[in-house]
Amino acid sequence: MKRSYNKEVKAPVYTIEECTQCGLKSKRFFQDGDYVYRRSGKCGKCNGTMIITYIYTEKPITE
Amino acid sequence: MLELLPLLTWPGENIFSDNPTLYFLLFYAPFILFILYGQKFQTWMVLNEIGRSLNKLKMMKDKSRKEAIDYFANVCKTSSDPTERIDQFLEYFTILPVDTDPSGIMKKIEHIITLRDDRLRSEVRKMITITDPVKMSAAENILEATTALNYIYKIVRHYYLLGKRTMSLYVLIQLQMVMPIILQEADALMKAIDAFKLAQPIGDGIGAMVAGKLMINCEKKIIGKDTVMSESEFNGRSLYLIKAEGPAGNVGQIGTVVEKLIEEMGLKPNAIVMIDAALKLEGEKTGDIAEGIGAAIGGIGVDRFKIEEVATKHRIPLYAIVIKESIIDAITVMRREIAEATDKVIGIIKRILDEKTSVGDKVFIIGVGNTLGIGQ
Ligand SMILES: [Zn+2]
Repeated sequence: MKRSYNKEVKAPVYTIEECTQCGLKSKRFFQDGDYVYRRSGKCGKCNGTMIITYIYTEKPITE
Repeated sequence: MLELLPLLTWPGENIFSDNPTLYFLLFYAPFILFILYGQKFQTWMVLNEIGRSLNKLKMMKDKSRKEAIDYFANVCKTSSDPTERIDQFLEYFTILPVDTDPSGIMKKIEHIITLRDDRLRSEVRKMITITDPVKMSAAENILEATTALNYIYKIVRHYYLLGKRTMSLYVLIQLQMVMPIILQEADALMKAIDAFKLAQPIGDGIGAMVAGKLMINCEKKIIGKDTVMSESEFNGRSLYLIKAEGPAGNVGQIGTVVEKLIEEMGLKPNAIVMIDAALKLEGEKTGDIAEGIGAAIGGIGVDRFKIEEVATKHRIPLYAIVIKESIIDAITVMRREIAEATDKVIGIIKRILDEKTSVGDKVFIIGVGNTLGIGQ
């Protein structure tokens, strides 16, 4: 109640990508156009397809 | 006791000794004032507090309205200034059917709700010039959240003004009691608008996310309004995976699709597994998973009714898996705890398939929820 809604810092949103072949995972900030299960490019290690598996925020927004 | 009385009433060197008026004012007047005006005083205090909360709600309402107008004008590129049209939309209402004669009410509710959704959609499409389905559905969702905030503000203002006019402490106290919860919900709606603008998945989408994961490498076909289906296989069972079509913010027409598949296309499943987000109780952990029986689908009840009807008619067992989250988690950006429940839920689905169905069975797996930011 004491906190005003616009004073809160917005928690960052992350995009997690995973390689469908070797399972390599990478985490980055959310970018416009990202959506879960989008094929998002080639894996840097094995050249397999990377797919976005999660988009989430880590800091609890509400307590 | 009697011996002490003269001391109290005549204390000798006391400053009140020759000023009984001051004595009266200091010791008795406050009592009398509080007895006569205590409730008035309390009413003012409560009014003041609600007034401040109402101001906060007004700020949120105005901000959300501005954000909706900005989104329509800048992202959706409306052909003209959308302000007037959006203001009209904020006052939009839906009259639900009479329920004193409830027979056949579900058909009427469905009719009204479909009409409302179609109207909203067609109005939004008329206003904007872009054709990107994700942005269009985001615009619809933003408009809905803005309408909800506007409605909350108007209701709270109504009771505030009613209490102020009648100076009724009891009207005001009731409002004061629910105010923290109202503010929390309004706050969640504001945050929901942020998620909608960026087309980020919300907590409610977890059911769709589970079904989407199972669909990844399967062929998808549109099976109903905003609803997709894929066929897959697991340990000799044929799986029919159903979810709303993402990554636009849809909830699909799950009930209608299930009814159509069973009644019209003659596809009689041996089991239906439904996955949805469910409201947690205070104290329960966000992202906890629970299993149960029944049609796990929220909303006004049309979809649940349809699935229950058709499942009962054909004696199809309904298995439900729910992921616990608060109402605030459900409409704001998905939390990590919720997202990471996906694989655990898939594990549970596989266990249910192994334990409750046999080789050659057909099973519907339905991921329920808003698919904003969730593809397949
Ligand atoms: Zn790889």
